[in-house]
Amino acid sequence: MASTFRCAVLSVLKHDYVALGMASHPRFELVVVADDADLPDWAHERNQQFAASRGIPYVRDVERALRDFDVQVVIVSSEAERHVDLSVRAARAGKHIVQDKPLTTSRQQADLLLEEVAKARVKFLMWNRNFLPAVLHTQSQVAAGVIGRPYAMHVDFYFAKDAGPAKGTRLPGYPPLSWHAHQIASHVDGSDGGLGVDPMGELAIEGIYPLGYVKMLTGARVKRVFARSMACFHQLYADNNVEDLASVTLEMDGVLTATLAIGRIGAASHPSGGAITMHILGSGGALVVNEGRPAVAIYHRNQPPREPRERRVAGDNDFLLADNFAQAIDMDGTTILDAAASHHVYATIEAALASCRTGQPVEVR
Amino acid sequence: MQRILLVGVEDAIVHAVSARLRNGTCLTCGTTLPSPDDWDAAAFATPDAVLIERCLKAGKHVQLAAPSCLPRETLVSLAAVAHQVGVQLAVLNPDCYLPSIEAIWQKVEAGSLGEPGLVRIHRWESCATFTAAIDPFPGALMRALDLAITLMRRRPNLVFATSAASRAFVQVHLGYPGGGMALIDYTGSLPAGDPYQSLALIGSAGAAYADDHLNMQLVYRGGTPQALRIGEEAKQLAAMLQALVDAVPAKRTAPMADWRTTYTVAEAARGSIATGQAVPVEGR
Repeated sequence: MASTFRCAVLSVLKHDYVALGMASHPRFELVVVADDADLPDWAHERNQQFAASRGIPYVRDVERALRDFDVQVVIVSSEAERHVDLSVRAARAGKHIVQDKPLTTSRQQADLLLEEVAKARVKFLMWNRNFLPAVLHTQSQVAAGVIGRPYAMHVDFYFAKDAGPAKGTRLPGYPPLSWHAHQIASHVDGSDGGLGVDPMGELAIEGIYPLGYVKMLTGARVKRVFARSMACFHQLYADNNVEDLASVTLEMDGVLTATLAIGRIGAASHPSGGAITMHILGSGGALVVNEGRPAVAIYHRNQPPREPRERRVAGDNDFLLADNFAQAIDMDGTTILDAAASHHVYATIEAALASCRTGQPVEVR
Repeated sequence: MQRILLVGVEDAIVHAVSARLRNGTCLTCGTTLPSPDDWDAAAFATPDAVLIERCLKAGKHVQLAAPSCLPRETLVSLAAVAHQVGVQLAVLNPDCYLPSIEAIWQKVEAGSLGEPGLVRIHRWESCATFTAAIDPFPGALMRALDLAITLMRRRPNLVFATSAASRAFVQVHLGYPGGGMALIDYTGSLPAGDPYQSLALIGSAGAAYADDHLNMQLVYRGGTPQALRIGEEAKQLAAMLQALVDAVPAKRTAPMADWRTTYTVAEAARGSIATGQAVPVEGR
């Protein structure tokens, strides 16, 4: 019988969905929540609430949790700025790591993570969406040669969610909106993907998802990028000089071209939470994929305005990611989005943001 | 009643379109123009520069909505002839007269979608062969570029483009002053069959999506079902001709694509493909 992995949840300040996703798999058991002691009260409160909901202890000492609770795995869902610090501490303690996105907010941290995970010879999984039904189906079609050899791939990744007041609505004399305060406040509806002191645009926060698709479906590395970005929708992003809309052209290995259009486009801009599509051109045909399928549409009187009218069904991403991670540990293999691949995604986004500033293509290093 | 001479259109289509026009009717011709007394204006579906010039010199307004494009120099020359004679040469982008695009444009003009931030167009067809660095861009790509520029409501200032000549594939990435962007990808390498087109416009206050994927019906004949495309082109030609019929007696310029900007952007895209660098559009 396969062994169970005991997991320490290192912070749920941003989200609890990664921890819950891992817990959906019978081989992963959440046994403790832990975080550093020197955090504000709201942070401890958030961690404590999650621990209580799971009936497990909350420990204000990460090293003690790693030492005293016999864990083999950590799950990191702190603010983005602390992702690597927590993951590296876990790696040095010999623990396998499942980490929330984005990888980090600095190149130095990205390099450090790659180095420490390799040195410790532990497994690393960046949480992703690669096992959604439509993505897996597309992978099977490409692998079967239905469209021949791919030469171009285009991903549209629009989240139809609001992030505070619309751009242009801040009255004269009022101060800029605080990024950190907004992220803390938006935890209620799960829109706090950019939680942290440093503002992050949508390409930085969410780019891992569509770039994960590109990697999975093409297997190619990105060599050079050209990108454009802007704060189009939300005053929060405009006040903090980060993008809520971006487009990237990616020149890749093997004369492959990809493009990405990504944004947090506002709740009014799609009836069901956003449009995510993939278009793949190959030597023998093409695929047009709605990533949100399969889905069911439900409408009724007095339906809450924000409830999606179309909702995804039959998704098994959480279980499959956890299973992928378990197999990587069992077989000493690689995960679907390991430290090296995550580092490359970070480097691609870093180059894209540089291209936005320079107006020229930038090599991915 | 305006009499519109339709050049390059099948008789059956002429008859169907004629029935839809208000205050207008259509007639056809081969390679020989009928007497100028028998028609008031001409609409060309094929880029026949020689016939166009004859129509202009006959003192007739001309509308050009070609599936493929005339070279820029030829258009400039014909525009000069029109100016000299005192008639109009209206160059239309047929894509702007698709019902879905007309519906989107109405919302854009009304400001309902806010400031356009991103236009994304996929335009795929079969049996087109060209080398991006040498040959003119195919008409479908030129129309897609023009449509993106039209919907963004301003001129781009930066172009980055890549191509794969072996695949008749071009990817164009436009940047706009103050933000704003467009992505247009084109391939002529689809296997023989129906084309595909898709457009998304993301504005600061709303978005619009016009995608062939949404216009498919399913056919089950055993095995994997087929997806059959329902086109929206039936009213497209009539809409273009109605614009000409309405404009001529009012002595005003028919809606015209800003083809000079489109050609400038296309040339910048070719320059970007050749150099591998982003190329400024301003001032070209």
